[in-house]
Amino acid sequence: MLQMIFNEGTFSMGFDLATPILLCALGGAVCNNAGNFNIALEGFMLIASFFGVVGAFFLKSTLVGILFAIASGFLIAVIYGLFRSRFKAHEIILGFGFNMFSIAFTGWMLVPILGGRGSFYNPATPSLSKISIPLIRSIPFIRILSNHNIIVYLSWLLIPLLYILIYRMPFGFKIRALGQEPEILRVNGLNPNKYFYFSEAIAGILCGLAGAFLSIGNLSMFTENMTAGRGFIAVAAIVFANGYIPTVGLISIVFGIASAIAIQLQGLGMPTELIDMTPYVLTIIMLVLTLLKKKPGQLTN
Amino acid sequence: MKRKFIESFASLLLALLIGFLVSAIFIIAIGVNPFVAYRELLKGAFWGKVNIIITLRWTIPYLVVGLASAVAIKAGVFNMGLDGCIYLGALSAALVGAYITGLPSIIHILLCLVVSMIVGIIWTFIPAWLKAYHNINEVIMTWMLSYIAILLCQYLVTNYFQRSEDIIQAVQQVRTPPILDSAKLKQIVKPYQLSSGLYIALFAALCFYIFYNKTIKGYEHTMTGLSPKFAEYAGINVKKIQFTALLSSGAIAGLAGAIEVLGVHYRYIHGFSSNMGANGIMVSLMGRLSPIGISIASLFMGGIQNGARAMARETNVSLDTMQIFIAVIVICITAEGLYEILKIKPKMREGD
Repeated sequence: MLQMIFNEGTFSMGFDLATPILLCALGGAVCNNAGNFNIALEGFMLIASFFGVVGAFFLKSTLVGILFAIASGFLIAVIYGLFRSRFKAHEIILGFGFNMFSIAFTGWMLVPILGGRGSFYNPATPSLSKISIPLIRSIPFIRILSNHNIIVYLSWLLIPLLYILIYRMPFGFKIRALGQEPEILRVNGLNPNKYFYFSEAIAGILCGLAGAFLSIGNLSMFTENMTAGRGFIAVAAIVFANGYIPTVGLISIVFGIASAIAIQLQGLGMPTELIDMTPYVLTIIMLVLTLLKKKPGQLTN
Repeated sequence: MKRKFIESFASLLLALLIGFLVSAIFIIAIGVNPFVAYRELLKGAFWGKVNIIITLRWTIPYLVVGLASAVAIKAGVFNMGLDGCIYLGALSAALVGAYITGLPSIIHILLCLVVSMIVGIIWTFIPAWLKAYHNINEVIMTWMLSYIAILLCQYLVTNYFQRSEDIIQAVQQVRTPPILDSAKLKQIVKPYQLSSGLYIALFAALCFYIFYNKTIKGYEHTMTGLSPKFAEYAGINVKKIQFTALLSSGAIAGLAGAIEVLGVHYRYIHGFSSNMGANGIMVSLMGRLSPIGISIASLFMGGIQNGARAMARETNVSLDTMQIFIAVIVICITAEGLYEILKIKPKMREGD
């Protein structure tokens, strides 16, 4: 039985399941460093996944799909930033409103643009091809690292890149200064709003990638509310890691593997409803586990 | 005070206006004249006796859910898991209503309501305790628990409570057996769905008013919401306030589910609440957390809910358009900056 659950396939699937959460969580972590507790990640991702499939379907190119997804994620995130910084909307309620909006908006757009109600699937839509890495693909167990699509590898690459950007570069210092005390930027003659928009834009682009992965990463399709709480899982990962990017990345991948194990349990005859609960239950467990950590005056929202 | 009221009212109107403008874009996009669509919406919501009765029927759950959301927000915490509590409250009321026999009507109804409230409290107990005493974010926690609650209800009903004679093959609804006559709320106007749940909802709003305006405890809640630090210095047990606020929020949301079952559906039907929790949060925000405001906002929401159906029938504008409308209002409703843009800035001239 254990053989059935813990095999190479499970881990390989775990990496795929982790990718949208990882990308979202990295984007959210940047926002978190800039002092914004962003719960609209889910909405950004949903809108991006819709436009990802639209781009891929109409122009028959996965690259266009990814670009569409990134552009839409970027746009919606900047609008979010506008409402948050310029119009001073309440953080939680604004995020909540954006999530509501994205569900209604994609549900609405589905009918006139893709001509489906509730879901869209057309076999003519291209999807991202899997990259098989020579050498690695033939080593037992290590081969789980091979045979994923480009976004998966990109997401792994982004962990060190963002780490360097946020913790080792002047740009990152400014972002983090904004999160600690916006006045520091103002005193130094910088515009805090500008850096706030930068952080939102990064989050939008990363959520855009996550959305593209969901809609054209494997099977090219879109279903209403297809993000199914992944954005919140990402937020929980951020809360757990307190916004520290390497931990956020690690937690997200562990989370993906845990979800893959849960899916394998379905093969053992667990009821579907209970399996569907696992991401939410794991999120709650993760939040509760933050209790165990020492917290000397850390930033909690 | 008066100026503040006018400002808050004006920013509310502005949010409404933006909502109408944005959804007008979506209405024009499918080739319908937005004025015609909004006329149908208004007619469907408030024109004629039948429409008003059905609007009132939708007002009931929104009023109660709006109060549930407001109770939490008043104390500065958020209960995003209203939907979960609504479902659990509905399921427990349906089970008590169907399986406990031989009670006089009034006691049976009260029992259903009380049980649904207790279930709501139990479900919010964990996030409330973690928030108040361990400072674990309640927004994500309640939201996740809400998803779990909905799946749990589906699981319980399909596996344990659904009898074969209740299954209608054509619609594939997951549902429990019907509740007994003694548990049904009376209809106010005979053939329509408007039940005496309206009185329960109004009573809840009255309790809300008395609690926040006439009692010391209520004032402590309001103060905690305004500034937890200040409340702490004033000697208020902030943790306890947040804890009880979240629990009461869960209880009232459970009550909303029970009223829907006892007054309208007469059994638990899975998926009966269409976005009720999310819209309830919008109602509480639109009502600016005051009982009178929430009552008016819920009437508005009920009108939208009922009118949107008429609009969909007459002009083929989909229900999603109204959901976009609501979402845009939620986005704009706390955005103070929107209103400030409109104001002519006299300060600028004084050399600001």
